[in-house]
Amino acid sequence: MHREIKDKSRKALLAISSIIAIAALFGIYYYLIKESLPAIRSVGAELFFSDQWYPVWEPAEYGMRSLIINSLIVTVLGTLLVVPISYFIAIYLHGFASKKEKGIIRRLIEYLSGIPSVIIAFVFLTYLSPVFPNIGIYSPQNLLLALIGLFFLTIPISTVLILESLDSVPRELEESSAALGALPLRTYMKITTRAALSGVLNAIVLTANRIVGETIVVLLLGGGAAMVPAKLTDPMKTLTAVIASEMPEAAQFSIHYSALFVAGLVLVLFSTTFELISVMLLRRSRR
Amino acid sequence: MTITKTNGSKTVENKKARIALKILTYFISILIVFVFILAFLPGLKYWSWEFFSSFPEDQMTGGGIFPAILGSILLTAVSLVIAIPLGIFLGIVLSEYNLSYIKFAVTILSGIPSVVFGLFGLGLFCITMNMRTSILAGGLTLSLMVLPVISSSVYEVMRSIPRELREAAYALGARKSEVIFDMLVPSVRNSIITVSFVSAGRVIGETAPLILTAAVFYATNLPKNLLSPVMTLPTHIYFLAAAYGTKARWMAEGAASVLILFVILVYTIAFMFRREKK
Amino acid sequence: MIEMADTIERRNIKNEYILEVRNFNAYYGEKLAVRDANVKIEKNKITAIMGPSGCGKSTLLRSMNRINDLLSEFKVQGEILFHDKNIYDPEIDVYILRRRIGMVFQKPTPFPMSIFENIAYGLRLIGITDKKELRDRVKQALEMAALWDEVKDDLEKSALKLSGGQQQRLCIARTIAIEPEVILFDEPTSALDPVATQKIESLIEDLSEKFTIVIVTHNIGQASRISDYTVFMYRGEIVEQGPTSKLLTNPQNEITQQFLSGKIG
Repeated sequence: MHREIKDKSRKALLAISSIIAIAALFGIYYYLIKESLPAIRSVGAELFFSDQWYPVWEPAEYGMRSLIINSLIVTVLGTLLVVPISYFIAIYLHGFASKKEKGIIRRLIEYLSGIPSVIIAFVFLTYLSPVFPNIGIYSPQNLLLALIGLFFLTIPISTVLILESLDSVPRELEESSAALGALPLRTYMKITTRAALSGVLNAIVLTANRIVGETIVVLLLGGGAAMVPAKLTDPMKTLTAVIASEMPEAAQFSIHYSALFVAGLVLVLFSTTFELISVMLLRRSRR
Repeated sequence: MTITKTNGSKTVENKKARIALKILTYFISILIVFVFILAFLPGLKYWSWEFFSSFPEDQMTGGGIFPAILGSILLTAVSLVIAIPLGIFLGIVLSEYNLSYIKFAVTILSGIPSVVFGLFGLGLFCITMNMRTSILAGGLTLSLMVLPVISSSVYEVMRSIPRELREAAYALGARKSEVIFDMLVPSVRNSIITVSFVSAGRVIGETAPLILTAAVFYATNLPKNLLSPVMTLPTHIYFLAAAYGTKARWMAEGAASVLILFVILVYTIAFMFRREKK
Repeated sequence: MIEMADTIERRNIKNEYILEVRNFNAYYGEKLAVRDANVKIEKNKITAIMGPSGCGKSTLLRSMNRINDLLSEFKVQGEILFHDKNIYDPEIDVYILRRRIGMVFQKPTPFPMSIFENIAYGLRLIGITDKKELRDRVKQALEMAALWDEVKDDLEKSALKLSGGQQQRLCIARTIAIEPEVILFDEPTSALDPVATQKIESLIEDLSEKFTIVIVTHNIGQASRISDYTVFMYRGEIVEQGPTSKLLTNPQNEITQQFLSGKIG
């Protein structure tokens, strides 16, 4: 009897946890859509086609196209910056580093992954941001600074994911390449990487997702302009930054409030797309 | 004998490649160490009993960060108390019951930006459930946010249990739930502790969702109950950096040092538990 | 660039022994895996290294093309001479050495690419870039490996889609495409079914006309079927060695006798 009760209650808890997970996913979509509707109804397509984001002016304008573009720019550039560097670091750790080197550097990178984004943002804001006016760049917070902050923020996940993919390739495959006289770098780049390709691509996708969802770093380091930057040293604001900085001030249930939910909805669509790509890649690797 | 090394030999080529990669790796590593140092050291000089035990004063030019420390601890505790058990159960569901739609849901959830969880928490907990800006709202939001992370890690841990252990357990005539909870989970106890500590590190550092659901810039009193708003270390640093400029920088530096220390401690404990004792 | 000097040198080989192992010891860290080995490998013959698992036969084989260098904590004492030059001499360029002494592994290891690209990979390593020459040599290698007829209609197909036996023959084709002098086989058929095994064994016999073969096996039948000379190892030492027919029918050493009669291994 006692055994029965234990069994049933454990199963109940397992079921509850599953229900909560699914409910959370639907709940998030539901709320985002529900709270977005007022803005979509009253502002309409202008939300996505206008660059004019002036929610506190009279009359208010809610064009988030430049915010969307900025989120994409930051994601693309950030990923392009981080992935190649972390790839080569992973190659070094996988095939050239000694066991001790690999362990220490990997541990260092894992500690970095734990540093809160607000601290990384604060460090670069304090020490790097003032440099810009000194060298003639008018905006102390700008796209470049945000990219630098994002680099240190995402180097851990990118490197670790790629490294784990490379490490999971069977050693015999690498030995076969070496047995043909191939140099180690060629083996790692042509054979190991190809064998680990879906893992490497997954690392790229997850890195991009991390960047698109990052708030504090781009908020504190990117500057306040809801405009598309013309050059790297221009300030810019992303969807995430706008939500975090304006929501605390936005009047509840106002159009501004609703428009910020629209921004959140766009973000969720981006991240869901990234995750779907990731799922497809992981399915491919389970050949 | 042409298999000997010559000037253009392959062995030299390999050496060049190795050195180039080594320089890259060490360069980035040194930069990372720099970032740690810049985050931790400057704030140390502000550490004092007063700093840890007082409220901020004089527009952030004096006093201390006690409410922020307390708030961080409370919020972390609330969210982990909910998320860790749930996460373990969910991780078990993922690994022991092959339901692809749950795996799918958890994967999508794990990618959702933290600020969007903040929006959800704001809409559901703060407004609809009328919790306002409170520890409870923030804690629930954070626990949802960290739930996919914990469950994925637990899933990986459970998956790594050798097949023989599972088969032996079933062979003893145990039911599925007994096999799982009485035999499998205890065998990976240390890994689950690691996962818990890593998730604690994650939660302590979160900022964006709390700005929307739990944190205030300045709390005059300590939180009375779970429905009170709080200050937390990361949100405090954020507010100082965003709104206060150089006058309050000292406080942000001091708070950053404390936060980093917490995080390093938590991660170090997590790493200690990584290897299961056989 | 193709090493033209090599080609000339090859034809002028004076002695019949292309490889010689002299007082060779191999360590994984502190553990001694091969103790005091002495063997002479004869050109264009098939030499089998046989013994129970853990006897060091793979270690010895893998030392011949220095593939063990990839493992950390691997140390050697003694010499392995290739054309009278010690391959562990610091002057040796190990990457060129491995093009002269090739290796086929136990588990078939097709690269995750097309059949054509698998073989072209090695050819490109030795500097062949001309498309026509690549196609000719790929065809040549596949024909020599008795795989051409089975794959000629679709060389762009992924090598991973081939059967186990076909994959192993692909690995052999890959190795012979760059025209090494010696081919080392590390239990090449232990992961294959009997039909595929038989195909590979007869392939190896054909290959010995052009190449020198050293094959590690734990299968006495295989050694007796295809090898000319057999080396028997036990617990890291070479216990006995000699022409295969003599060794298998009239072993001198007691341990050899026990292995052959199935009492150990």
